[in-house]
Amino acid sequence: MNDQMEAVVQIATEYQAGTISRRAFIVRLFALGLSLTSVSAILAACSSSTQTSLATGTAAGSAPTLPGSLPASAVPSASPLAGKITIWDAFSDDAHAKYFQPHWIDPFVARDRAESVQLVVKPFDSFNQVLQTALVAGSGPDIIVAGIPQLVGWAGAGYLADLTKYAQIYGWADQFQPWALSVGKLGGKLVFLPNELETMIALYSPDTFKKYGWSMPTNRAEFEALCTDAASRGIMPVGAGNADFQPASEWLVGIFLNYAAGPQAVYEGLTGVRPWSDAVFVGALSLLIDYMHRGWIGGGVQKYFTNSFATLYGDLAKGTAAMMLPGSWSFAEVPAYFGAAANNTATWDWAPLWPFASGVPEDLYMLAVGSEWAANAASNSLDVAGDWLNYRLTSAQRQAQALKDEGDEPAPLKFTASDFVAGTDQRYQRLYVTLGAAKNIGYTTWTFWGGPSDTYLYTTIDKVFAGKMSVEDYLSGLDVQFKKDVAAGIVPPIPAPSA
Amino acid sequence: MSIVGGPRLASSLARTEQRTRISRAWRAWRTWRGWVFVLPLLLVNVIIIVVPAALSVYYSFTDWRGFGQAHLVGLDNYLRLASDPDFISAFVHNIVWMVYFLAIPIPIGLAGAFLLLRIRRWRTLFQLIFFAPYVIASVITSQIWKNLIDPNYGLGSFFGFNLLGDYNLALPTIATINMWAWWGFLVVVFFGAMQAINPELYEAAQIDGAGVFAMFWSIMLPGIRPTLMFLGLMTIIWSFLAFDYVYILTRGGPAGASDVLATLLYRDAFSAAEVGYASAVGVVLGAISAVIVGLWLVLRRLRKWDI
Repeated sequence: MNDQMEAVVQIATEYQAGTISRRAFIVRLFALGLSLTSVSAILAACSSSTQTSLATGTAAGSAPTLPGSLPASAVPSASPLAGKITIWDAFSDDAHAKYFQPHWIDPFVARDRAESVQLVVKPFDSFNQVLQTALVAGSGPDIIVAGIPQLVGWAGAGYLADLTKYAQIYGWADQFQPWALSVGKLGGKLVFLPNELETMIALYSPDTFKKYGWSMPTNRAEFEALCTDAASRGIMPVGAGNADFQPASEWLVGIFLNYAAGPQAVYEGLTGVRPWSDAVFVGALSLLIDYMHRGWIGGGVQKYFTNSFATLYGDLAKGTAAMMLPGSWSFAEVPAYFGAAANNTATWDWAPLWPFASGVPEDLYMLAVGSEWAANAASNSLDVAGDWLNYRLTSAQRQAQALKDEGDEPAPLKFTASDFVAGTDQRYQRLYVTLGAAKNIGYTTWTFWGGPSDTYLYTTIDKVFAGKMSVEDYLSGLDVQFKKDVAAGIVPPIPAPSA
Repeated sequence: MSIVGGPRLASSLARTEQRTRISRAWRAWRTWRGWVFVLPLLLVNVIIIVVPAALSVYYSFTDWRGFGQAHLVGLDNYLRLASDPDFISAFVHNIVWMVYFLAIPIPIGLAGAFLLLRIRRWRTLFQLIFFAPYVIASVITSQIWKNLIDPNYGLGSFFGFNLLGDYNLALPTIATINMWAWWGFLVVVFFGAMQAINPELYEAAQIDGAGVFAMFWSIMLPGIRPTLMFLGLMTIIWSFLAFDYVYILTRGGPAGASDVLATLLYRDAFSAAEVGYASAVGVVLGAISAVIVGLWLVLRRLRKWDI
C-alpha cells in the first residue's frame, strides 16, 4: 500500500507540474488499481488548486491525505470497479435491438468481469411513460435514455445523477463537440450526454433530377423554379407529412426559422434578445405557409396530414416526389425504399439545405442531438454507469462502426475522415465530416427550445397550416411560452451561430 | 332440595349457553358473510378506482407534471379550461359525436332488429354477420378503413378525396367508421329485447288491423323501452369517453379537427406533461357522466321506470 501511495503522489505531482497530460494522469491512476471514486476525488483535488502540492501519507499503511478540498471518498482503495447496472431501451425495429447487446454490452462486460450490465427492452410506443412511472416510483434503470424535453423535466425533479465528476474523470469535454455537451448542463451540472448527432438535409433521387434536368437549389429563386416545374409535371415538390409523427411539423418550422430568418435571428430569439413575434420570424413562417398553400409542401394542406413516411419515401423512389427535407436519421430508413431492397433501380442522395433569404449563410447546418443518455440518481452503481456511458459514447471507432453497420447516427464527437470504418457509405461519411467542419450552425427546435415551447411549436403549427390560426398569433403564443421556459431555467445554453 | 339434580342442571345450562353462543355467532356470520365475500372486490375497486379518482381530483388543483413536486394552484386549471379553445373545441366535438351516435346507429339498429324479427331463414347468420365487426379490435378496424380510404392508394386516390385529412370531414369520417363497428351490436341487443315481447300482442294488433309501422310504434318500442333507454344512456356516456378510433385514425388531427376530450386529456398528460391540467379535464369528463346518470335516476323515479 505504501508503494501505491508513493506512486499516486508521484503521478499527481507530475500532473500538477504539467509534465503529463490529464489523460495520462487518469490512465496511470487506474493502472495502480484505484477505484473510480478515488481517481475522481484525486482529480478534483488536483484540479481545485494548481498551487497546492500533494502531501505524503500520514502513517504507514494509511491512505495518503490530500490537502485542500479532498473529500473522504478520495481515500484510494485497491478495489476494482465493480457493480451491476441495468439499461432500459426501446427499439423501433428488431435489427437495432439485436445489434445493441453484442456491440454495446458484451464487449464492455468482457473487459472487466466485475462490471455487469443488463439490457431490458421496453415497448417502443410507451417507453417514456414506462420510464417516467419507474422514476417517480423511485426505481427504474441505472442508465436512462430519452429526449431532451423529458430529461430536462426529470433532472428538475431530481431523478438524474450529476455526471460532472465523470466528465472530469473521462475528459468528456475533450471528446464531445462543445455545443452538444453544453446542452446537457443544467444549473451548472452535467446531467445528460448527447447520443445522436443530427442535422436537417434535403433528400432526393439523382435519377429523378437527371430525368428532368434539375439540380439541387442553392437559393430561394432556384427552389421556387424547381417547385414550379415539378408541380407542373404533377410531381410533389417537397414530400412532407405528419401522419406517422406529429412532431414532424416542427422540422419545417425549424428549417424556415433558420434558413429564412437566419441563424443569427434565431440565436437572438433563443437568448431573449429578439421576441419570437418579431417581423423576421413572421416573414419566415409566412413563406412556409405560402409554399404549403401553393401545394409545394406535402401536396398542400389537404394531403399533408395524411402523408406517411413510407408513402413519401416510396414517392421519392418512384419520382413522384422531387425531394424531402428530413433529418439525417432518415439514413437508417431510406435504404429500404431504394435499389435491391425495394426491387427497383432508384438511387438516393442528400444535399445541404439552402438559404431562403439574403444574408443567411450558405454553409449552414442545423444542429441537433436526437436523444440523450443519463444516469439514475437512485442508482447504486453510478461509477459503473459512468464507465458504461463513457464506453457507449466516446469511442469514435465504435460509433463509426455502428454508423456503417446500422446507419446509426453517431454521437457528436470530434470526427475526422480517418475515424470512419472502411466500407462506410460515402453519403454518411460525407455528412458527418461536413458537419464536423461546419462554420455556421443553426438550431433545431427539439434540442435548443425548452420542452413546453417545443411541444407548443409542433402541436400548434398544424392550426396555422390548416388556416385556423395566423402566423402572428402562433408566434405570439410561442413568445409567451418561451418566456415561461426561460424563467423555469429549462432552455439549454445556446452556442453562437458561428461557433 | 336435592343435590342430585345439581350436575344435571349445570350441564343443561352449559349446553344451553353453548347453543346460544353458536346461535349468536351464526347470526353474526349471516349478517356479515355478504361483506366478507364482497370485501376482496371492494378492496380491488378502492385500489384501482376510488384511490386514482380521488388522486385525480386532488391533482386537478395542482400543477403536477407527472413527476416531481405538485403545487396547489387552486382553481387555475378549471379557469383555464373555460377559456382554452382546444378544450372548448374538443367538448363540442364530443357533443357532435353524441348527437351522431344517438341519431344514426340507434335507429338503424332498431330497424335492423325489427326486420330481423320478421324473417325466419338465415336469421342467426345475419345476426352473426351484423355482430362480427363489433368483436374485431378497434385498432384493426381502424387500420382496415384507413387503408381503404387512403388518399394515395385507396378509394381516396380513385375518387379524389382525403376524408381523414380534411378539416371538416375528419370527425364525421371517424364517427362513421366507429358506427360501422357499433350498429351490429345494437341490432343484436334490440333483437333480443324484441323477442321478449309477448307475441299475443302482435296477434291482437293484427286482428285489429294494425300495420307494420303501427305495431313497431305501439308495441315494439314500448316493449323494449328499458333496453332502448339504457342503450341511449350508455351511448351518451360512451360518447364522452370516445378515444380509440380517434387516436388511431388521426390522433385528434388535422389541427385538432377531430380532437375529443379523451385525446386532449391524453396529449396534455403524456405529451405536454401537464398532468394537473389533464386531471381537470378528467374530472370534468367524470362530472358529465355523473350528471347524465343523475338525470337518468331522477327521470326513472319520476316516470316509475323499472330499470
